[in-house]
Amino acid sequence: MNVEERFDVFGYRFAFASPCPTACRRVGTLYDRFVVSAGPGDGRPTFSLNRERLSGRPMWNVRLDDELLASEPTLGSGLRSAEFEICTRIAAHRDDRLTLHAATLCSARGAVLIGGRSGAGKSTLAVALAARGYQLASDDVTLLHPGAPPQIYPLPRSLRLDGRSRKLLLRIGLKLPIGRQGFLTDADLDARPIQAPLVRVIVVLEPEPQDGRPLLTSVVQAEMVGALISQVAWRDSRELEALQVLAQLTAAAACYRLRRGSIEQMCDVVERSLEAA
Amino acid sequence: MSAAKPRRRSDIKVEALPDGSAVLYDQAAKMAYPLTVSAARIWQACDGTRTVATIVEELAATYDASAQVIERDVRAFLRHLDEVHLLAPETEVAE
Repeated sequence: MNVEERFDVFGYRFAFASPCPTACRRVGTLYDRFVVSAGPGDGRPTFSLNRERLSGRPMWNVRLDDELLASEPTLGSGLRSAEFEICTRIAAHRDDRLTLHAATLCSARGAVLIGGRSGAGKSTLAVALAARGYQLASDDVTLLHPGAPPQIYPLPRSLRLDGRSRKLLLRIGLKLPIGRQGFLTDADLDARPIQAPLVRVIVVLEPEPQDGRPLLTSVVQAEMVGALISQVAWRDSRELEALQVLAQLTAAAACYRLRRGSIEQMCDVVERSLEAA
Repeated sequence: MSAAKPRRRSDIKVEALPDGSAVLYDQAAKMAYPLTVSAARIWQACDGTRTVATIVEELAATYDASAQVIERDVRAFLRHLDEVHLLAPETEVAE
């Protein structure tokens, strides 16, 4: 029997349905801050994850209403595909907001944005900081609403940590509650609801690993805009607007480049930068 | 010193930041160029009325460096602006 939950994530209304209780539970955990009841004339799109046979092979199929979006061999990869499809549409739905690939963490002092190329270590650093009490709002995507300063809307995502990252985190005593599906969310790390916080510190991770202590270097705001531009998804006609939003973001924050060292030391320097901001 | 009067392209958008740095945006090429505080000042000075010598003099009044060093840096930056086509076509940047 299909179980269905309804959500409203920053104005994008959708439902998720699956006969698999684990799938419903995991998606429900990911979007637990955004659960809503059905409304009148509720014709919201429905994402589903079902185990079906395709060409004789059992596969986990992700659908949006009747459209097949993805076929995956395992429940875990099916969940990740479904979550990716949902995330893409949430970001596309709000074209008044800029999509920035950055992790967001919050504390009483304000928010920290961690940018960097894919594989630079944003998620690993974000989870390590969450273990120190920061609220992990998103490890991957943050929507920026124009303003001085811009409002940030961190998008909940499943955490993408490879084997190496998990070992690094285990070495500092962090055992992640990863289930059999490998689908870990910020809610699994006891993240609490986030109000749109003020960004106090922006850190861009340098891609090259460094032996020894991490190096935090203050950069001018324009250099940070230049570093973040490559992490922005925008439409062709809106580059200037994107630059303006990034300028607004960096104008209100202390900006740094961070060359990597050990995870503990990287957390230490980021914490100190937030205390000094 | 050169009598050339560098002039910035009028279609280049500028996002000035509170710390004095700036980002230039070339819409035609879809390229953004972050500028340090000193580079942003040189860019602002490239209005077609100042010679390179004048720009160097103005910067020397603010920065604690020799005129020789400042001139070297100004010329290097102007050459860079020329290479990425951010200066008006008639501007000649001498070595």
